[in-house]
Amino acid sequence: MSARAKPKLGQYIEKLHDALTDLAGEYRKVGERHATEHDLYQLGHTLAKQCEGQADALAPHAKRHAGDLPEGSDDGPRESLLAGLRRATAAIVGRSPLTGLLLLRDLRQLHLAIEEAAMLWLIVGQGAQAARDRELLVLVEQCREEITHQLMWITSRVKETAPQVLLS
Amino acid sequence: MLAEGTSEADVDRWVQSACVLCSNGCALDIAVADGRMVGVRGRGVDRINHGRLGPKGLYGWQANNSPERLTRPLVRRNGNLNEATWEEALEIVASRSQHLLTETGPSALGFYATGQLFLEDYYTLGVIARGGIGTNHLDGNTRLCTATADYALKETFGSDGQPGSYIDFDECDTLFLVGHNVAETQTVLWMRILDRLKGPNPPRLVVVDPRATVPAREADVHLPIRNGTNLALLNSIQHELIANGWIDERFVAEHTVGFEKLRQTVIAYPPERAAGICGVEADDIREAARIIGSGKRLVSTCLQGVYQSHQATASACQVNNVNLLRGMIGKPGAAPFQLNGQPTAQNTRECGANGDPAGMRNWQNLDHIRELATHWNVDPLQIPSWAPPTHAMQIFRHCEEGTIKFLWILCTNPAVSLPELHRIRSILEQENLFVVVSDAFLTETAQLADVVFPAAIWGEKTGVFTNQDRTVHISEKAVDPPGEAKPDMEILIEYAKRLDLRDKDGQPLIKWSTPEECFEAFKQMTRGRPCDYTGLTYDKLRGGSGIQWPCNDEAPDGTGRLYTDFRFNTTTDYTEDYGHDLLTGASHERKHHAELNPDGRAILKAADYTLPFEPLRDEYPLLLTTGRTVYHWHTRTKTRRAPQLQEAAPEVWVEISLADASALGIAEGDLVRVSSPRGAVEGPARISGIRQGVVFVPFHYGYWDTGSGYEPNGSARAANELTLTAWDPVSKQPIFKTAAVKLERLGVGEGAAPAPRQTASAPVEP
Repeated sequence: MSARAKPKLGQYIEKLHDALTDLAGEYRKVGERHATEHDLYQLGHTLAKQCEGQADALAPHAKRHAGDLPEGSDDGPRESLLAGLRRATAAIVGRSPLTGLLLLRDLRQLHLAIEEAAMLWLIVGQGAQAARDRELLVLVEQCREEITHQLMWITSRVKETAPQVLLS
Repeated sequence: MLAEGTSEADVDRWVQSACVLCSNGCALDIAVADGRMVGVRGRGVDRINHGRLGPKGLYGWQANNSPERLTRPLVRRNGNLNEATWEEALEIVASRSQHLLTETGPSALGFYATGQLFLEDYYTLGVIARGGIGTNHLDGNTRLCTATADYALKETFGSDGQPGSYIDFDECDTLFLVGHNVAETQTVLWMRILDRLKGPNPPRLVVVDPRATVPAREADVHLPIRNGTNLALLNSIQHELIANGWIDERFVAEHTVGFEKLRQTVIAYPPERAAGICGVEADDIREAARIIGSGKRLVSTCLQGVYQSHQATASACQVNNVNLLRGMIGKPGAAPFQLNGQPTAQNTRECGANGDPAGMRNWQNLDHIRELATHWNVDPLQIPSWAPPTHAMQIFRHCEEGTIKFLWILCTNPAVSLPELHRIRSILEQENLFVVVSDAFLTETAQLADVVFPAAIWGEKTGVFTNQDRTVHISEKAVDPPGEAKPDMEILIEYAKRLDLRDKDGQPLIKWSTPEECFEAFKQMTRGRPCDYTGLTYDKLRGGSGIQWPCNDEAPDGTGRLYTDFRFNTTTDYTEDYGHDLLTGASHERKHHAELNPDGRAILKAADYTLPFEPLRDEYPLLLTTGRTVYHWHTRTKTRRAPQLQEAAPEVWVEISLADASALGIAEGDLVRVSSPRGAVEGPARISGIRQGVVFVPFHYGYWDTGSGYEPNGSARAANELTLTAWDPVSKQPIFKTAAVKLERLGVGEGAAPAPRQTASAPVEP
């Protein structure tokens, strides 16, 4: 079943879609800029894919409520020129203690991007409930859990990183 | 086994000990003649081995007598390591430490230990590093071998500690071995299993391994999965257990949490899907599930095939799940075994030498940290508990970026055993990293040190250690250490004295000077915790069999099987860990655990399969896995010095399938090169029963005995030249079982490859 289109809900789904695409880009960027932090590199790509998966799953809902969305970015598993450059830079500067401060800054930035996605999922979820949109609600439940884990992860990572950066 | 030319009449005395060359911990006596070690014999009274010994146990002791033992401290001067006095060497190490503590603070110091020392060494190290210096950077090489066992037990049961006992192998009717080549990792346990397989009422056997291991050849069902796909397979097996109603619904309802989430996850893994991911037949998965689902007494085990793959903790938890779904735990013949690699890895974990708060305490639980602070008489704030302990790979990362400036490596050889060796060597070579090594031999790592302490080893000091089914053995000093070598505990105490580490009343932090005094202090610290040692004494461990912890007032003779009342260590106040998200490794906080409220029930964790970190591609089309051979240990520091072991497996080899060999025109013994994006290894090819598309290289072979020092000169032979820097997000165990490689034939070799012929590397006829 799909209810009548709700244009304002649709707008927020679009915003969420954009936020998830941005977040995926942010994960890749941080992963590559800090490629010498190997977990960030590997997990950054895994979580970028997770965000893109969420954005893809949202697309039909956006269509139902508001019309078409622009195509998602397509630098998926392929490595862009810029990404390679960022990684090469990471290898060079990765041995400087100053990278720690850069890392903390990037993790904070990333945290804001995850928070933004989490808040938009909350808003879209509330809209979906009021609109009795069961299909969207199923997606919201699954994706909010994933985003919650992303938030827990960034918290863990910052807890581990901050003391070494601040006191070395 | 006695040295050639020695007879039993020549033996002056037999000294009680146990073997330190695998996690089995076989009890043995050391023969001493004229103050020298001259042989060993198995102890028939012991519950673990009943007198049996494996090849490394029988022959490995000869390394103690090697003329290459380090006998004096070494100090680097003008680029070279030169002999020095203890006074000089300790002074240099202490003053460098003191300088960094004053200038930067504790976070500039790191310690990287092992799974090979004794409990007393570990506990002393843990108290010094965490209670005295106050650094969070303390880990063991157990990170490479058993971190996942530890974390999988914590995730599911709330704490470390093997649920089962070895007698469960005698009593089971079904055996499920996942990534566990027991015939080469724990030979005497394999003998025990063979007693069953070749005796009356043999258990049915399911083996998961990409290689044609000896257990795989004995199996009713062998699933030679593509490495790195354990999770998909285990999800599928659980899919079958649930779909066919082969689960103990009452047990699941009463004694577990998380079933609904698990059901929803595994429903997406019907055998056809898993067959595609894992590269095995769907019907074989069904048959394996039928065997597991119809057994009355199921023992499951896992080891490095699970622990050193990506999604390690997630997969190991599924092995726990299989037994929980079947209600197969806490009863005779029924248990999941999360096994260990090294002989004393269990003590590394209990003592906190892997960074965890000692006594299986929870770093996020302030009450637990306060308990430790009380035992050590230090301010709770002194003990780092702001984040999980820094894992080994991150310690090396901090060394790389230059924020750790002092690294003390005890009894391990990261210059051969860590992944991506060119990176590790370049980290250890850095001018601004001060490296201290305690070892018995001049390993590759020791060659890179600024100071080397000569260590006394097994047989030259007294202490206890604990095997993988919680059996505690005492190992007595049989002979004096060579030259000026000292036990690690004594070296550490000397260091603490020079740093003037004190408790909050101004008394010396370390209050013991003998191993027995240390053990007594340790055991008080374990009171009420899962690893309760309070009922044990050195005297009680002397004479008879080893004893399993917990051993206390309630269980004075020790405890065979844990969780016989189906109550697990998962109450929020007691648990050793609040758990993790299996995909990201995010630590759950107290509120998350309290919300889940397992309250004594086991936790069924679920996860979806994800692709390995390094996908195969045209340039690197083959999948590398590394592993051991039965005749060697770690990086051959000891086993290379035992002639029989060295002769049995003298050189590296590269194992490939017949199909891949034919496609590349490679014959048995031909010289081949394996390359990954990180390096290359050359060696003769062994054409074995390994899965097509998979290449195996043993990890033991480094460079110290090649004449090229600590690094390759020309062609390389250490498997870790090829492996990648990546780790499991939860246990942080590095990934040694999946990397993308290519293979080239270089030319004709000198006959058959020098690989053992009776093991997983047995040749197949073309």
